[in-house]
Amino acid sequence: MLRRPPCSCTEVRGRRGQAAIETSLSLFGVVVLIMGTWHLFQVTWGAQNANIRAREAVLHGTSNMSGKKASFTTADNPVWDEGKDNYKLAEYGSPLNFSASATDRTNDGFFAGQTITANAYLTE
Amino acid sequence: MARLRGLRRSGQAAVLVGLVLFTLVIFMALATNMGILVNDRIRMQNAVDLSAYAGAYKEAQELNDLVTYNQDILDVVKECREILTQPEQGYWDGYYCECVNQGPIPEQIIQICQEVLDQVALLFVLRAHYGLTVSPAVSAGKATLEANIANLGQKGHMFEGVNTSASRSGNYTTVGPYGGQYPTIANYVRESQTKFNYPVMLYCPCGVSCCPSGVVPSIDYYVNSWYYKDDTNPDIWIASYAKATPANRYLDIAYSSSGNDGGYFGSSSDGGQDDNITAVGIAKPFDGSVGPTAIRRIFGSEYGAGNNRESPYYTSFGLEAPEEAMFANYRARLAGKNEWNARPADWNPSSALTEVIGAEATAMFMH
Repeated sequence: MLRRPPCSCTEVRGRRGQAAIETSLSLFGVVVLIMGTWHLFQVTWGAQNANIRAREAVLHGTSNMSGKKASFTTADNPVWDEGKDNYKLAEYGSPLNFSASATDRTNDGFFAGQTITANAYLTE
Repeated sequence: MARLRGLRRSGQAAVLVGLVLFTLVIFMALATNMGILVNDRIRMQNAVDLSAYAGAYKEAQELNDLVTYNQDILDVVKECREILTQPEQGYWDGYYCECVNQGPIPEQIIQICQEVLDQVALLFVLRAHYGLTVSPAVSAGKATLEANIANLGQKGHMFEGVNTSASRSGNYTTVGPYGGQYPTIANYVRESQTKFNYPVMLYCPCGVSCCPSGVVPSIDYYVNSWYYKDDTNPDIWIASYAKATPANRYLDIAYSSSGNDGGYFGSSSDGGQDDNITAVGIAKPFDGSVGPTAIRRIFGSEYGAGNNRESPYYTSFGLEAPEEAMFANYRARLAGKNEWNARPADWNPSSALTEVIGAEATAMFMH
């Protein structure tokens, strides 16, 4: 029966703690990866939110939108009549010049929070 | 011996860390590219939707103005009817069998009316001309597209050069009152059955019984008057198309400043369709009616829908003036590519999309 020879005490002493260090480094990397992915998701999500909200603000006003992190501004001559809940009459001669802006913000976490702004325009 | 073993192991961790870092960077770039791709795709879809809406809104504005031209024609008809039915005009003095020489004969009045109607009708056709209706819409659509994705290097159009598109000049025409075909925003047909039915004393020599007692003699005349769209297809639509590569990319190893690059993920560049993201938006004017559209005329039972109104039933026959069928109430809304598929023979968005990006790619655009 073959037996593995016992290692020397010096060798064992040299390897002590190696696994712990490797594990901690790996864990750190994994955590950074997860946090980075989460942050990237938040940024992408926020950008989508901002873009879609800006577009919806232009087309359909802001009355049906909510969200504590999002904000909107609209200007000029909106095409949506919020009172009648319908598109406005396209009056001949009235200029088509309308824009909206929407912002969203990622949470503060491992990385600093970021504000994403999107604009949407209707023009001629 | 132990020292030799240690020498063989030196650098092992560096290789490992290098490999891990390389993988990490690749994945980070991939994830970032994916984020950019998603973001750009959404921006582009928003841009084409707004672009199509801007075009449709502009068309709605032009159509609302066009309605007033049709109403002008209607006003002429009403005025002529009023003149012809006034007893003091001398055509009819209220006596059924009094054979007297009447004033200017009604046919002359009708002829003058027809001439005036033709003049106003020409103004309608000129106002409906492609250059005054669709062209401004195309310009508005392009301006909106440019404003929304200025930095995406987009290649966009409003389908104005596409054979199967409603926004192509010459796909819709209207015959003018003096002949000739004009490219217009839709196929308009001139009403030829506008009836002037008025009491009139027939010419009857004295001594000849000409007027049955108690029956007001009358003659029906039919004139050409206003315009209407004589089909079921709500074909006034406009679409916007955009194709772009992203402004920023990471690890795009096949990037080329010539534009024939690798798109979002590098490597498999052939400069073809797959290297870009595309988006299509479709919109249309709605809720208005240029004229008394009659879409089906089956003898006595006329029914149908025109210009996407919910239950319009207006026809062009009859004595009554169709004020209620000339609505300057056009608005604009986004539309779906399959809204017109029931009439594949007409210019419809899905056919135009297929012509531009192919049937398979068309399936991607479901709204």
